[in-house]
This record gives sequence, C-alpha cells and structure tokens, in this order.
Amino acid sequence: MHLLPKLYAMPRSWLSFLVFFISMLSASGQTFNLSVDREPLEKVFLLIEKQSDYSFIYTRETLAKTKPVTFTVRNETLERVLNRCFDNQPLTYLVDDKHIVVKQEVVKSAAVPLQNITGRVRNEIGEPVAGVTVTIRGGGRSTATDVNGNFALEGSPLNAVLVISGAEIETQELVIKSSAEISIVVKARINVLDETMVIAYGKTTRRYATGTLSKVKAEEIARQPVSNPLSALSGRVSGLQIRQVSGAPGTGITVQIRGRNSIDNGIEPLYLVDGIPYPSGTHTGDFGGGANSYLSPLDNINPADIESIEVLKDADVTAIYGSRGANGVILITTKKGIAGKTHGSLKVYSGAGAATRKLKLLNTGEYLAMRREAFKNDNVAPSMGNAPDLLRWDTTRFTDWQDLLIGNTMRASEVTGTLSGGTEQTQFLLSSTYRKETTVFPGSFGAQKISGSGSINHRSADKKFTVGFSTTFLTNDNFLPRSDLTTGLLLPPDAPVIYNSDGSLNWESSTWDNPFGAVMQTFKTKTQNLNANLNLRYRISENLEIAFTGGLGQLWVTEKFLYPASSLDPVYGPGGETAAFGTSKTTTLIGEPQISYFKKIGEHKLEFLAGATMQHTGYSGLFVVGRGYPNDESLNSLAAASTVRVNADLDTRYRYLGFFGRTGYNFRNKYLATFTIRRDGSSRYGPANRFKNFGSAGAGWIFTEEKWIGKNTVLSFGKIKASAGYAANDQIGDYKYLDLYSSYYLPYQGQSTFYPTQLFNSQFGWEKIRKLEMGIDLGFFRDRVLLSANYYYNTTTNQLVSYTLPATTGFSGVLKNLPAVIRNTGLELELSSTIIKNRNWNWNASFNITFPQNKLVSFQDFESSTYTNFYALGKPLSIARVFTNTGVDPATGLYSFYDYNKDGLINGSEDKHVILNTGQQCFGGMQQTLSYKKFTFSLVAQLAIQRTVPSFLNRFPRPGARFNQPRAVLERWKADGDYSNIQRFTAVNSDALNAYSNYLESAAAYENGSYLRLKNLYISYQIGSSKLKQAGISGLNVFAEASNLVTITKYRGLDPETLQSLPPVKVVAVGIQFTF
Amino acid sequence: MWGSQKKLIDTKTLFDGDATATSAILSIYSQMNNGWDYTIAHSSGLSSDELITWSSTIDDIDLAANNISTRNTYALDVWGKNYNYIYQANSILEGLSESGKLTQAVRTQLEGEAKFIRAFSYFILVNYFGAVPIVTSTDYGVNSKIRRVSPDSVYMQIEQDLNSAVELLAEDYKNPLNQQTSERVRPNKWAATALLARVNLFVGKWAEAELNSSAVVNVAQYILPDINTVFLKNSPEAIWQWMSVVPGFNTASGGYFILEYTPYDVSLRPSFVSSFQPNDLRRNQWIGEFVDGSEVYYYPYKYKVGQGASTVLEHTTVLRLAEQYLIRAEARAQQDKLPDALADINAIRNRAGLGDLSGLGKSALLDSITIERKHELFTEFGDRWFTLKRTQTANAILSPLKSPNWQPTDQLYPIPLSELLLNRKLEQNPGY
Repeated sequence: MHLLPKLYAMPRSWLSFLVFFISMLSASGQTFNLSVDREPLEKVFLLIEKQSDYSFIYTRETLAKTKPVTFTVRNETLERVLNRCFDNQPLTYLVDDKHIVVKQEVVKSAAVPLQNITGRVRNEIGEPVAGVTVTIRGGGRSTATDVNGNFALEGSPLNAVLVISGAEIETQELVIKSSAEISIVVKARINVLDETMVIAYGKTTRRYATGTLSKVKAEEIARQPVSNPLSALSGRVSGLQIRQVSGAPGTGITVQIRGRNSIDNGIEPLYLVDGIPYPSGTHTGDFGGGANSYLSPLDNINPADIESIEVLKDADVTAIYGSRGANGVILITTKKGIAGKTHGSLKVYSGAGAATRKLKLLNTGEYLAMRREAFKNDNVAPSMGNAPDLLRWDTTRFTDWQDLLIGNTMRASEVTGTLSGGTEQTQFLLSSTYRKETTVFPGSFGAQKISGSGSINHRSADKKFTVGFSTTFLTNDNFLPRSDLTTGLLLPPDAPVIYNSDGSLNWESSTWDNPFGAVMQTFKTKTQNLNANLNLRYRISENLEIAFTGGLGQLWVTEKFLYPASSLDPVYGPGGETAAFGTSKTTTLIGEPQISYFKKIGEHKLEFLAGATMQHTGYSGLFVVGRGYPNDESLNSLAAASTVRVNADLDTRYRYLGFFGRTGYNFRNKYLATFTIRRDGSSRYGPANRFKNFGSAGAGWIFTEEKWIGKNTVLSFGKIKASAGYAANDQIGDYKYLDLYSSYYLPYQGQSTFYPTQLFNSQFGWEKIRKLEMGIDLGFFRDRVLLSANYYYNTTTNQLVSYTLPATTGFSGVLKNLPAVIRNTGLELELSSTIIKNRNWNWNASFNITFPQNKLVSFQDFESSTYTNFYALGKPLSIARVFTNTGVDPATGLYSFYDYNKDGLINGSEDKHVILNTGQQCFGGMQQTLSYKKFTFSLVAQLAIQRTVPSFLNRFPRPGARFNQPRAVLERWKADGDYSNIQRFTAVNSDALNAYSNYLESAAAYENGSYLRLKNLYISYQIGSSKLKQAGISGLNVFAEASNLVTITKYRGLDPETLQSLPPVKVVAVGIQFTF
Repeated sequence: MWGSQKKLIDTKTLFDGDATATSAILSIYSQMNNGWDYTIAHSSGLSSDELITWSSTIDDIDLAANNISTRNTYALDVWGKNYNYIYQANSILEGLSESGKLTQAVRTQLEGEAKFIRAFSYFILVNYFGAVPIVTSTDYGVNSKIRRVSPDSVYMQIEQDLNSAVELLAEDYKNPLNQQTSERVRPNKWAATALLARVNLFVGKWAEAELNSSAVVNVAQYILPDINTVFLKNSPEAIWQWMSVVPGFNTASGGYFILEYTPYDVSLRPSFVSSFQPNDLRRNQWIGEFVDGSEVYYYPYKYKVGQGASTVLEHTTVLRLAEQYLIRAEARAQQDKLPDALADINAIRNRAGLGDLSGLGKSALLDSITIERKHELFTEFGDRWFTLKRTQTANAILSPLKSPNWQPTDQLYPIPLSELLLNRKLEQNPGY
C-alpha cells in the first residue's frame, strides 16, 4: 500500500485507541486544534495523525532541508493545517484517500510573483475542447475548460508548468511565460481504434467500421526516400499486393487488392485523389516508354503532400463505387492546414544508391571456350558472319558489361518546405517539393520533379458553412534511355571497344549492337499533373447537411523520343535518324452533390447519405514521327524533318453517371449496420447495357460492450463484422461496343487510309463481382494489442474479356462476356501492438500477412473454348502449363522431355502436362518503430512467398550462342555418356535450339522467387535546445533512411520482384528537418 | 450525352462515302507495302534453295534447316497477316453490300479489288499451308471454329474471286477519285487476269492458263523493257505494284536484302548464284556481291535502293509481264505446243542476254522453263518455293541441300500452334 521506497510509517498501534477517541470528538468534521512552536515537521505530522486517521508518507531525505514550524490553529480544516506546515517549505503534498504523500517540490516557486492566467484549448481543426483538466504542476491547483474551451487559474507562479490532460486528448505540458492569454492546441488521444479513417463521402473509425480498410499515415510515408507514393505501401497493408516493374525512376508499379478478379480486363484498383478519379495503369503514350518500361501515373503525386492513404477492400466500403469498385479503392487524401500559430518546416535529404544485385557471368576465357565448343558440337565452322566474336574481335578484351551498364551510383535528393497556420475559422497550408533522382545507367538519365500544393479551409462564424479548396501541381521530367540497359549484361565479355578514336560509336564492321547506341537514344517524358478540388458544406440544421464536392484533374504528357544518326550504325545509310513527339492530355471533371441526415432516436443512431456522381473524362493525344534530319542537332525540331508522319491521333471520351445512398445504424455503440446502394451508367457499354445497380450490406457487433461480458482486464475490445455486396469493373477502354475503322499511319496515293481496328461486340455487359467478408477485431490490454482477422470470399461472374480468337478471324480477340466464375478467397491478419510506452521508451510493432487464393471455379464449355491452354479449372489464373524436363539425354547432350501423348513429338498442349502456379502464395510485412527519448528508429520488412516464378534462365538465350551466360552453364554435357543438368553448348543447331526453347517452357525454367526484403530503415534524432528556440527553430530532426537495403532470397536472377528488368535500387539517404 | 470520337470512324459512315470507302482498300496496300514482300521472299527463300541464313535466332535457323517448329513466328506471320487482309477484304465487301450511297463505278471497282486481295491472300496461304480454312465473312463466331478445306476447294474459291474481279475491275489504273492514272499501284482487270493465269497454271488448267496469260501479254501497255528498268516505279513491265509509302524505304526487299555489311540475316545461297550462266544479265545485274576480306556474300539486287532512301525510284513489283510469258510457255509446252512455248521462253532469255533455245523435247523444255523461272523470278513472292512443290521436284532438289533435316512433309509449313490451341477443329499438317 505504500508507494515510496525506504518508507517510514508512524508506529501508531499503541495510539490507536486514543486516536479513535479523539476522532469521535473532533475528526467527524475533520477539524484540528493544534499549537506548535519551532517544532520539526516530523513531529507536527505525528500530532496531526493523532487527531485523525490520516497518515503521512515520506522519506527522511525529503524532510532534510525543511525548516521548523510555528503556528496555532483552532477548528481548522486539514487543508489549512497542511498549508501552514508546508508554507515556505521546499515541499509539496498530495492527499490520497487517508494518506498524505509528501514530496520535494519540483519547481522552485520561491520569490516568484503570482499571477492569474487564462487560456483557451482547441483541437487541431480549431474547435474548442470542453472538459479538459488544466493543472499547475506541483501546486495542485487545477480547473476544467468550459464549453468554449476557456479556462482561468488564479495565483499561478511564472514559469510554472501547466499540464493539460483529459480522457480523449494527448496529455500536454507547457511553461507559462507571460500573463497573456494562452492558446493551446491539443491532439486527440491516439487510441488506434478511434483514429479517423477516410471512406467514400465520409469518415469512420476502426472501432465502428462495418467494412474493411487499412490506413497508411503521412509519417509512415515520410520515412521513406521514395518518389512514388505506391512504393511506400509495400509491406504495410494486408491484402494489397504491390510489384515494382523496374528499378528505373518513375516506371510502373502494379497494384492488386485481394487478388486478380478478371481474366484480362483492368485489374487495377480505383484511385481517387481528394475524391477525383486518378488515372491508373500508365500514362505513357503511343511510343512505349523509356527503359523498355512504362511510367506510373502515381509517380506524379508528391508523397509529401499526402496526409493519408486508405485502402478500401470489402463490399461495405467499395460497393458505393459501383461499377469501378470491383478491384478495391485507394483513397489519397492530401494535407490540410492546422489552426494556431503559423509554423513551417523545411526538410532536406540526399542519398545514393545502387542496383540491389549482380549476376555471376562467364569471363572472356570461359566465354570463348564455350563458343568454340558450341561450333564443334554443331559441326559448323565458325565464320566471319556467324562468329565475329571468335574471328574478328580482339579476344583478349574483357568488359564487365553489367558493371558498366547498371553498376553506376544513382543519387537522389529532395527538399520540401511547408507553411501552415490559421485561425479557428480559416486555415491554410502551402507546400512545395523539389526532387532530383539519377539512375544506375551511364549517362545523365533521371527524373526531376517540382511540386506545389496549397489548401485553404474556411468556416463561417455561425459554423454552418464550410468551404475547402485544395490544389496540387506537379511537374515531372523523366529522362531514360530507350531500352533497359540491363539486357546489355548478355553482351559477350570480349565485345569491342565502345568508341572509335574520333568519339563516334564503334560498330566493329556491323558485328555487334553497341549498347551505347541505346544510351544515346533517349526518351524524355514531361508530365504535369494538376488536381484541384472544391468542397462545400452547409449545415441546414443540427441534423441535416448538404454538400457539393467537385474537382478537376488534368494530366498533360509530352514525350520526346530521339533516335540520333550518331546512335546508329552508319552502314544502314542515312535517314534512320528519327524524332518522335507525343502530346496527350487526360482531363477529368467530377461533380458530386450530396445530402446527409443524422437522427438519434433514443439509443438508436441513424445516418443517411444520398448523392450523385457526374464524371467526364476526356483523353486526346497526338503522336508524330519525324525522319530524315539534316543533322542530329536539329532532331528537336519537327520542322527540320524531311518526312513527318502521324502515328496516332486520338480523342476519346468517357462519361459516367451514378446515384448513391448509404445508411448507417448504431445502437448503443454495440450493434452496427451499413447499407449502400448505387446505380451506375457508363459510356463504355452499349446502349442496351448501360445502367446497372450495385449495393452492399455490412453489420458489426461490438460484443465487449455487452454487460454480460463484464470488465475484462485482458480483452478490452472485440468486434465481429460481416459484409456482402456487389460491384463491377468497367476498365475495358472506350468504344469497344462499336464497329470502328481508324486511320492507318501510311497514306496511299496521297490519300489517308482507314483500317478496321477491332472485332466488335455490341452486346457485352458488366463484369460483376460479389464480395463476401467476415472479420473480427480484437483489442487486448486496454487496446495496446490489436488483432484483426478478415476472411474474404469474392466471386466474379460474367467475365468480360478480350476473348482470344484464332487469327482466322482476322484479329487476336474480341471483347466478350465469358460464362466463367473466378473466386478470390483469402485470409488477412493484422497485428499491431504498443509493446512499451513510457516517458522515454516507445515501441510499436505491427505485422500483417495475407494468404490469397485464386481459382477459376467454372467455365461453361471450357474444353471447347480458346482458354484451355492458358487456364485450368480449379486452378489459379496465374498458371503456366509446362513440359516435364527429363534431364539431358546422355547420348545426344540435348534436353529431353516426357512425351505424355506418346506421339513421338514434344509439342502442343498435350505434352505440357504440368501446371505451375506462378502467383504468390503468401505476402506480408512487418513494421517496427522504436523511440528512446529523442531517438526514433523504424523499419519495414516485406515478405513474399512465390515458389515458382520464371527463372533467371529466361533472360538467357541458349548456352553457346553469341551471348554471355551465367557461370552455372560450365557444368554442361560435354561428351557421349555424360550426365548433366545442362545441355551441350550449341551455336546454330536447329535441334539443340528447339530443345532449349522447350526447356524454357518446362518446369525446370521456373524457380523459387520468395523473398524477404528490408524495405525501409529509418533513424532520427530530435535536437531541441533553448538556443535553437531563440533562433526561432522549434525543432530540428536529423535522420538517415534507406530503401531495399537487404534482400534475402534463393532466386538466382537479379531480383525476384522485377525479374528480368532493372532491379530495384537500394538507396541510403541522410537528411535534416527544421520546424519553426 | 454518351461518348463521341473524332479520329475513329464507324463502319457505316465509312461506306457511305466514295472517298472513305476507297481509303479502306488503299489501307490494305499500305499495310502490304510495309514489309509483306520481304516476309514472303525471306521465309520461302530460306525454305527453298535461294537463301541461307546468318542469323542466330531459332526461327531463322529452323526455316533454313526445314525444321520448323509449330511456334515459328514467320509461319504465324504469314498465316495471321493473310487472314487479317482477308478480314479487311470481307469487311469491305460487307460494307459495300450494305451501303446504298456509293457511286456505282466506285462500288464495282472496290468490290473487284477486295475480291482480288482475297484471292491473292488465299493463293499465298494455300501454297504455304496446303489445306486452309476459307473465311468469307467477318463473323468471328463462325471464323473461330472453322475447318480446313482441301487445296482444290481453296483454288476454286480463288478462281471464283478472280473471275469476278476480272469482270468488275476496269482496264485502266485508278487514282483515289476513281480516275485513270499512270501509277500501276492498284489492281486492274489485267492484274486479276494475270493472277488468274498463274492460278490456272498451278492447278494444271493449261488451256485457261494460256488464254489468260495471252490476254495480258497482248495488252499494249505491258512490254518487256531493259533489264535494269524492270523494277522501277511505273515500269512498263509492271502489272501491279505497291506504291512506296514507308519512310526511309523504296521497297522492303531492297531495304532488307541489299548488303552493305557482313550479313547477319540472309544472303543468296552460293550454289544458287553459280547456277546462272556467266553471261546471264540477271546474274550480273540482279545479284549483288559484298566482299568481306576473303569471303564474298551474294544478295538479290533486283531493287537497287536500300535503306535511308529519300526519293522514290522503285515500287514493289507484285505482278509483272515476264511471269506471264513463263506461264504461257509452260502452259503451251504442257499442251505440246512446243514451238510457241519456245518462242515465249526465248523472249525472256533474250532480254537476259541469253541466246535462243531450240530443238528441245517436251520434258527438256519444261525443265528449261523451270530453270528460267528460277532465274527470272527468284526472291519474288515465293515463286521458287511454290514452283519446286508444284513441279514435285522439292524432294529431289532440297533433300541433298538440307540433310539431315529434310523430310517430304516439310513442303508444307505447320499450322501455327496457337491456332490449333484456339481452334480445336484445325488439324495439324503431317510431320509436326
């Protein structure tokens, strides 16, 4: 019962009788009669204890510096008596039930003038906070804020510490410096369960949500030196599968929420930036992109502008997006201003990086021996034509092409400045970022981004009307070589010198494809992204609100692909120099009027929302190619071209109209339900199939609110939820229901020409997905440990596919509905925990893991369809049908295969008997954030289990050809009777070539591509000092961060994520952030 | 309120106007000009005894070794492009029949051209693959489950289309406004007749072959000019050419065959080159040499303009008069009209600087005609490959050259694997 160590309690058993007697007389009203003269405190305490049932708790040291006291009291209260005792003593006390705890006073209050202080407490959005306790530390004086957030405290010493605390806010302390009115902004207490999460046309919390969604916060995004915000989601969100396509800056990232729902149409989620639909897939135009890749439009959103990213998964939260919600929804919300003192920050970082891995390849000696052996095996004499590497080139040369082409150091640096502030009524935010990134390629490639964003929010004095306007603008200059130079690692190690003595490219009499030709062939993409968003709300009454949100999103892209004469082998004659120019623009306009109504009937809370969506998206693009330039300098000018050809001239429009409604129900914060409906129309469908209805129902039961469960010290929160609903997918492109001709790029007889572009089907209808979900959310130890488990069961029917057709139809396919059913099921687990939280230490850990399963459940007339060879009933969509490699025939030295249909040939579908799943069996991630005093350390690890991915061999042509090879090929078959896993070297033998190409289509050409990657590492130190404060700097943060630092995998190729493309870059950066 | 577009045109609108309907047919010639001649000459030249490969890609090596995989991309290209052209021809024929707004003369001309294109494509298909499906509509429901029909049936379809084209097409060459032009870049009645004569020859209808080839030979505007002007644009020998429209090229054959470097793709087989008589002008004028140290590489040099062309001197010649002489010579020889046949073959020989042949018996004359065809029409639209098969000499001639891989079944290309997978009603050729 006693709290302090080395504790002395008064021995008072002998006095108990007397005390009891006195209490009967005087302590009933708890008054004291006492007269002391220069008595030590300890003795006075004894006297007080005699007159009451109070006991003092203190240590001897505490009383060491006290002065003797002298006073006389009559019928005085305990408080008065104690005040006499502690007057001018370096002590303070606390009355706790019948104990009086005596402590040394922390703040010296000696000779400090007292004053009255007043102040006002508001939250982050400027609203007053009532009922918050304001206490002067040490003095015991305290008060609470009124409904306007105001408080007043009398007799406070200057430099005293004010403690502001409450059940729903983070405790905050500040030093009183003057008598001026104090304005205090408090933060809502972070119980993760009560954090706001953005959903369609509203907000929810993890506690009361009936649907399933995950949130990634600004601070998590800020700890990663990434350019594309999608990169920051890797490993953080269950059910969200992210794959980086290439390590080149700005290039594609594929995103899948809860598996692949469609055989081939649009598997991308719907992206909304502040409510405005944002393009997914790619914005690269008609010429393809640089580095053999394509650009990700999301790279044109500045991660520093993002307040949060919500990933919406189940029917409950996605059905309201109707025809576009099938693949889940990613909501990106930008930062807004905060009321209070104007403050700013400046963040700068700079780092360097390199490709994650390198391959071990043959050196010149081994390579030449391989080539000679190959020709010998083939019984063909090497000639100048087929073996310049043996006969013409300097065979003493050695070049590490890998090192030269992808082994350079990339550099990235970024500066972000923000300024924010405002009053209770109006808040603003201004922010700007500059980022520059280079590549691991030789040459001056890279990307440079400049962005600016602004946001202003205003609320009328009567608080009925609010208006918010925000806009972001970003310009992105991406500059890449035409091809992914990673392919250059195949070059023979004895390949010739790159440059002639005059500085021109050396083509060694046209015997090789100089990779530096590709370095000189450049692809420049300039993208400008403007997003502007307006949000108007008017509260008609306490319960009724109308709103209008609208916005404009515009993506301008200009592309310039230069193919100078100096990059080409001159033997092909002049006129090959080419410059291609593309401009395209995607404009989205959206308007969404809404009305919402809130009603409380007894303990029943009801929310209603109704609204409409009107959207127009226009795309126009013009792609022009100029050829025949007088010199390379004039390539930039189309006017200098001798011929100009229009490659594509496009103009498409997409219109979309939707009506939606949502009802939320909450009874006693215990029983929850949500219903949504949507009616959608899309111009992508023929007139007969244009409109369709969607909807969902979700329910939740917070069983820990039930009385019968009682107060449980372990289980603090428990919710069971379920949802069901329908959504669809309209990512099929425009005008597919029309029979169209489009213009062919080559005119004839001076007349423009038209050709049929597609087979058409005017009857195709919506691809529909039914989503079912069950989940449980549990909180343990006062919600310090949170566990979520969700099981989803999604079924897509009426597959809308570009149905593959034989070429006898004139085309390769037609858009058509297939009677196929695809099922995605999966279990998602998320665990987060505050392991330690105290004054100095804070340790948070979270884990997520997803076990996805994808299955082609049924398919009417599957056996007679054109899909039998690509899919299998009961198997995932991600399969490969492969031959069975039976090793190398010891007699011929060629790969042999199992002939299932015994027809003597290794051919066709019947010998491809084995089915491999090339998808992921499991993926997840882990986050750890540890802070000690001013240090913060965090890490993110990403896990993917993918047991059969196309092996690194797929990069390599047959061993023996004029390409370098991995060192593993040295174990090949050499002579009759040899047993080996690698067939004999071959240069030009047709049978050996066919055996190798069958090998690449056999199970042997797949390997385990599972990996565990240390995705992100972050360490920071917060410097705060009074000197800095005098200089106006309230905070100074020094940090180091790293991406992709370590990858653990058995995969033998460059990288298990990017496979054959440029591997991801590992980057280490250091930086500093000032706040003022 | 629903979508609209500017750069795309729906089929109905397209066939409501003379100019737009014509643009659909012109587009096919543009597409063909974009490399089709080389695709055919390259693959058939490797399969026969004309070309050898220097490539290290499997598709080329297999072609040259007559060991073609069912995944060979050239086989798929020949198959797929032909059926795409056939689709376009069918789409145009359907569009024309549904349109009520076209000028009659334009409608007739376009219908004739579409049927001509269809016949031209089937001729290539039947010679590469043997039995093939006949597709005469745009209905993908039907066309995706279609069966192969015998070569005889395919030839019947071709003859039917060509007979119809002969009726429909004008004797003069047309420009986009359907007016007469000197550019021989769209098929006319004589182009259809010339192709029909070839088809007659391939199916052994000797009398009709003689009749049709004579009809072309007798047209005044077609003559055999000097050997160096045969392949120039609007050459007086040309019956049908493709206008040069691809930037940087005059013709694909010129662009890809002419060697200015050590070959990495194809060159002429040395034994093919040495089969010419030394004084044959075609050996000297139509075959080029590239010397690389001690090695000499030969290449077809009928077209003189390579890549990087800035002015148009040559058009791709698809049908020309010399072939009509050769057709007639063979047809006449088969009908035992040996003196007339000799006259035709000597016309070709004289133009090549060779002396007259005389006193040959039927068999020897037919052999000489085949050799003349080989030397006159090499690397032109598969003539050599088709002739070897047609005259049943492929086994004898190719077997020693292509051992050990040559098999009699190699005379037909495989039906592309993807087609078999997508249409279970298709059956593979023997040997694949």
